[in-house]
Amino acid sequence: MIDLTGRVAVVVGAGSGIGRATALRLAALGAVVAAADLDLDSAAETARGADGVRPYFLDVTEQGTIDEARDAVLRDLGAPRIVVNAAGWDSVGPFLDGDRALWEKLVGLNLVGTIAVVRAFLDAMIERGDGGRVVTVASDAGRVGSTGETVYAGAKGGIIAFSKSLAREMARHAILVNCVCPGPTDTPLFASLPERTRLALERGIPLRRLARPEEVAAAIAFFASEEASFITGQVLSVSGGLTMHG
Amino acid sequence: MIDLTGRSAVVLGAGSVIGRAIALTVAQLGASVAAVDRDPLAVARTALLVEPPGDVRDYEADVADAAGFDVVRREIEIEIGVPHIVVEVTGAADAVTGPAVRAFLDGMVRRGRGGRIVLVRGVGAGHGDRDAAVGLTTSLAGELAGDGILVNCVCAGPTDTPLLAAQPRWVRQRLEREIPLRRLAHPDEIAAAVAFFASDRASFVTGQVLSVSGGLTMAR
Repeated sequence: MIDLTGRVAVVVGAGSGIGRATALRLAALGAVVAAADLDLDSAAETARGADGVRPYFLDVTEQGTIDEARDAVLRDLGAPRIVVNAAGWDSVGPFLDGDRALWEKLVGLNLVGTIAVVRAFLDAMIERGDGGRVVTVASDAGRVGSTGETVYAGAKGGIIAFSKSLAREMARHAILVNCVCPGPTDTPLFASLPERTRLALERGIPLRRLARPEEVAAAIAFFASEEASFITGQVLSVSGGLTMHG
Repeated sequence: MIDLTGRSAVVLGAGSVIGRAIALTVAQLGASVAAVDRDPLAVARTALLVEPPGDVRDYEADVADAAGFDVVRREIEIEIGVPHIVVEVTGAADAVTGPAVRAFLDGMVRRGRGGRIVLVRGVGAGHGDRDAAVGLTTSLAGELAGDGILVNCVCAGPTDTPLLAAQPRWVRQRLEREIPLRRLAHPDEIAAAVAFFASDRASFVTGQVLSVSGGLTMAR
């Protein structure tokens, strides 16, 4: 039903977790995937997992690397139909203990990183003129807040509002923009949290387990597909009911 | 990629244009479908439109008649089995409305293998459709999570249906101007979102409300 044969997709943060699962899922659906990551070795490992996936180096906090990766993707694969940013980072701790350097890193990587990645590919998508899909990855923390993730939640909430506003601006170009909000997911990022935090988060999930990265990737792939041709500016949580609503 | 082979699905309100698209889509993906509506002619037409080897059977039932509805519910459970998927479409003129979903829950819970409920509502702000849908979806999702039954809601934006076509031209034009994508939804686009929620692809999604509205609504 979902068929992305021949579509070019860019997945940033494709070296691990949700980004890797997304790159592999889109490739399994037939897309040609540019798998970009700060860690080129892990992006290359993702690329070895499926046909039609090529690794690229991209650091969302360094504009020069975004521009270089963009140019390389346009040269190698052409203008993408699908852009997904799954690169993200968190450091859990009391808000009162954080400092400006931490805030700037959290907002810079999660929010400004998303903005910069999406911005980089829009011109080529608009120029080609047959529309496209942008899927951002926020977090349930950005919808309902999360203790110990206050600035991260602020950045993720920013991604949600950014996605909706961009959806309005891009509608005329038939570029649909939607946002997936994972809850606690079985990824390296989650594994880095203190055990106490991990247990508390798992207990709070009505389905009583973590998301698998593939389950988040499935929602991203849905938004990227023809099946979602009338959906834009929407936010979908894949969190086992941790947060409800839409 | 979405495969519902071997699943049984009940579509309540399957005589409406959107309900019909859902019944046909779900059947095309391999599920056995019980198409239910209080309008026997409308739902018979739904069943007639299915392409082989799709399996859509039509049932006339009015949820306002509890005893009568229960008879039909038992008939459905005998013929296609306790449903894995229950879709309730309301808002259209011909739809079965009300707590018809409730009738199927006991069987689903007793079987103990989870399931999917998808509520389909309009996005209309004027009649509070969406707010009511959010309340029902999240409450049901919370209560049924322990049984592995996932509950989600699709809110349909203005859709290209005969109901809308019958309105004066300016109504349609005004709607199209307000929708960022500048067109109405096709019923199949609503059905596609329902199929996603009903599928294995949505195995960790519950309590969510997804608008298929071309950007008309971007709630929270």
